[in-house]
Amino acid sequence: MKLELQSTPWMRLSGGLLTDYFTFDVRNLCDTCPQQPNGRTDSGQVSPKANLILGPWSNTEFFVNYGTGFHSNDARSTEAGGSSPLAKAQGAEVGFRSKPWRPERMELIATFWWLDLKSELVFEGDTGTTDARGLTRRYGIEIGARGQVYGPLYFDDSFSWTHAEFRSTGLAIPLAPELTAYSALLLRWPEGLSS
Amino acid sequence: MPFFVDNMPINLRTHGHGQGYTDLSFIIPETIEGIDVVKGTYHEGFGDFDTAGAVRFKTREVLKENVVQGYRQSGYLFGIRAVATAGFQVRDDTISNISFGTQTKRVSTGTIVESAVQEASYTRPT
Repeated sequence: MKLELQSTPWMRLSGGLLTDYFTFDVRNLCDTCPQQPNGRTDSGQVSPKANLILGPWSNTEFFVNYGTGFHSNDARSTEAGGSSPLAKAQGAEVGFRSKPWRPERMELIATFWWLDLKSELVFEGDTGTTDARGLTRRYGIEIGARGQVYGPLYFDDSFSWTHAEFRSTGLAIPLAPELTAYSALLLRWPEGLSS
Repeated sequence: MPFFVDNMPINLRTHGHGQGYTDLSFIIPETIEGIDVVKGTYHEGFGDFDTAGAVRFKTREVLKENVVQGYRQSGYLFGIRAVATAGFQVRDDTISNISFGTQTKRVSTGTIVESAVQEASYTRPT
């Protein structure tokens, strides 16, 4: 379900509701191993989503986004009681997008974002499996710029910083990157050759 | 994160490598037109695994050029890859048939541990 509203020229609001329903049906076909999971679980979630865009004023737009999502868990572990069938995710971001000079020249984008997970799946390198480790929180910033330098020369750069922690202990999440950066210089010849 | 190829979900549930394991090995790179990456949980239309964002692969409607490619890699794992694509232009931007095949083999200590042949064809009514 989706709804879009544009009440004034400088404000756009869109939102949606997503409904998911899951049935986990696990059958243990092994007669001699009653400890293996067996059973049936139903679970569902309604996920609201909202996007608000303000502007543009002097080629600058501000945006606020909010939404919930989820990931399902292994059907066997939902029957064994190891994890809840659906793990909710909740996130939001505020930021702006700007082309301060000529529209084709350069685009700047900056966001502050936040993401809460009800159950983080952490990869276990020793066993090659993943493990449900509980509530986590992430927040961070991302800034980026891209555009034309001169003639056929373009650039595309972005940088992000993330703080990731387990809610219960405050410890860092294994394998969660803290800093990422990307930088590219591109040559785009009109003949179709690029490098 | 959920992965899609032309809206077909790729993540495998209740998989030994982990919930939502994403095996992209069936994708033939020559047939991919572009990749959309959507950040955040803010967009409707993605269900399961939409926790941090989503990735959508889009395959080409029309292959404008023909490709024949062979590839071989040796070392601990030995790999061989071959791709052939063919497009027959009937009218402008309309193609009657696309077919392609890939083959991968991994040989470890002289034994074939994995061998797969993938083939797909696409026919568009003219």
